[in-house]
Amino acid sequence: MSAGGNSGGSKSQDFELNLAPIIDCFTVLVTFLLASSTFLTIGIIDAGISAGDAGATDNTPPPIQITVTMQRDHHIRIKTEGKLKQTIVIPNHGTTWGKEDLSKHLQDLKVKFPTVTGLTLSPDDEIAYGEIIDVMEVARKTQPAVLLGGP
Amino acid sequence: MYSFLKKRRHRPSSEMELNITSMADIFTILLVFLLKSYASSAIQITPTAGLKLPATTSVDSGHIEALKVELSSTHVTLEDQEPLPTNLKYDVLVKKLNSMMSAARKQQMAHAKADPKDVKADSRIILVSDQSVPYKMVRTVLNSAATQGFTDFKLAVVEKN
Repeated sequence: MSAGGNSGGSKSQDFELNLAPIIDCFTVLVTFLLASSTFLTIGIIDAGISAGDAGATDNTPPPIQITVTMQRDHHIRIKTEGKLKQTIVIPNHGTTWGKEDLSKHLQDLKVKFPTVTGLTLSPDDEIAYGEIIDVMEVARKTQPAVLLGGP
Repeated sequence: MYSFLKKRRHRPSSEMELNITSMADIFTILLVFLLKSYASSAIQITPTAGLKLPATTSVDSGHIEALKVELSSTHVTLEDQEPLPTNLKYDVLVKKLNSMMSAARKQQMAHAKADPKDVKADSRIILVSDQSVPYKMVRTVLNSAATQGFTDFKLAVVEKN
């Protein structure tokens, strides 16, 4: 590496940086970081059991309360109470959940009641936690506050 | 002697010189990338081997530090406490879970009482659960936490890109 300088001077200011020790340091650092990093980003989802959620009582009650029930046979039931009383049953897609239909129905409710920002998700006891998170992901797109409730 | 050296100088050299400058460039880029991705998770957890967290794209932002409870298909572990097997009789399991949560809560309250300015009793609890665990077990752990004052539940998930 050259630092420039006057070529005509009596004392040359050219010098060469010794890169070998720098490479050594970099190798050690890169190895350490590769060994200690996980490459998986852990995120957080807010949830709460309906009975234990104190914050919900502070606000004015929403016009409707939405309860989404995940059944053992992969049917999803959307029940609304309050100004709109209805129950929608979304049939299963074989052994999977009808997530697209769920998203569509929740969007319809969001259009009708834009002030509603939450729902209670009530899965059956036997349903795996991973499947609950999948359905929660769909629900959170329209209703960000998803609370976990009992069956 | 002179003629010998001169002759040798003209012979094509078999020595190879590694270009270290380009290597330094590669290492610099690698180092910057690794440093940037080093601590970007919302929480710092090291799940035990075999624990598969569910993956999702929808996560909340922010860095959180709270009490962590790990739930696998065979054990429940509350931070540094002894793992509790989940195949116990339901009543016994609930009793032991309540006892564990209560101890953690008491410890937290004691810290908060000793240093009220800097430490506050926190109602948050992070659930680090395997994706195959049935909801009954998740609900049991969360109910137990709620009865001991940990009412603000956070679920740890793997963030999908």
